[in-house]
Amino acid sequence: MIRVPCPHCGDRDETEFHYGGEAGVAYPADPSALDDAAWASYLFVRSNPRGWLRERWFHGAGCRRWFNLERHTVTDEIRSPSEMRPQ
Amino acid sequence: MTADVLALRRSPLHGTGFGLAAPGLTMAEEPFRSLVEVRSPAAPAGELVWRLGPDWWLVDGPPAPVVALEVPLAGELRAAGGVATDVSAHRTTLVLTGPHAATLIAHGCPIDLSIVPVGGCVQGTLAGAQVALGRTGPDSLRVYVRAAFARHLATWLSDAATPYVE
Repeated sequence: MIRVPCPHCGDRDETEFHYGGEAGVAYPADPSALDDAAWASYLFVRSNPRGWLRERWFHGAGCRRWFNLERHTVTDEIRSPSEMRPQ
Repeated sequence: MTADVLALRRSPLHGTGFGLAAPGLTMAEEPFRSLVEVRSPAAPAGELVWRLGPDWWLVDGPPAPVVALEVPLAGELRAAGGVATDVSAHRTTLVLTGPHAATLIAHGCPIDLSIVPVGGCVQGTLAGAQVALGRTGPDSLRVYVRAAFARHLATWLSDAATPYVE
């Protein structure tokens, strides 16, 4: 069980959260201009690193807020949780 | 007509016989509390106001035959951009008191309640059910549980309380 540090509620069990995938994937500025390959790339292709990854998490059983954190994909270490702010 | 409707009302724990009065632990349901959820940066006015999260509050008031809390709260909050919504039917309220109350909850809740001050509230899971836990005193807790999970939680609490019944 991972302990996830929610920026609002503190450390909680992983089961209280939903995982939201990689953070910082920007929505295309003009989606209609993309061809199928570029759209599929936006939808499905992620960096998938072996190491630190910036991720989105949702604290569904607590404050019900989305936030970002960095997780090491090998060791599951977690660092620098932060509130999600409008770009 | 209104009175007839109220007479037909059934709390989620109606007929379950939930309740306990032991020396170190009492449990009871307080049905039909007036509950209002508020979205506002500042805390709303009220006797029992819990902070559920950033800009998110739960106001707990006595049972009322009509929606009593929502309208005045919404009126106060409107100028500041806040909103109030009556959610009385969403949850029921369980009141646990006594020195064993926090210990009992710890059997099924991973949150450390000792760091929750009087007047503080945490949301999390208790025996798998999503709950809001508010502390009204050193030995008294209010558990707000969704109506659909209330019977499960009451059964679990009654079972978990066995060691504390003398």
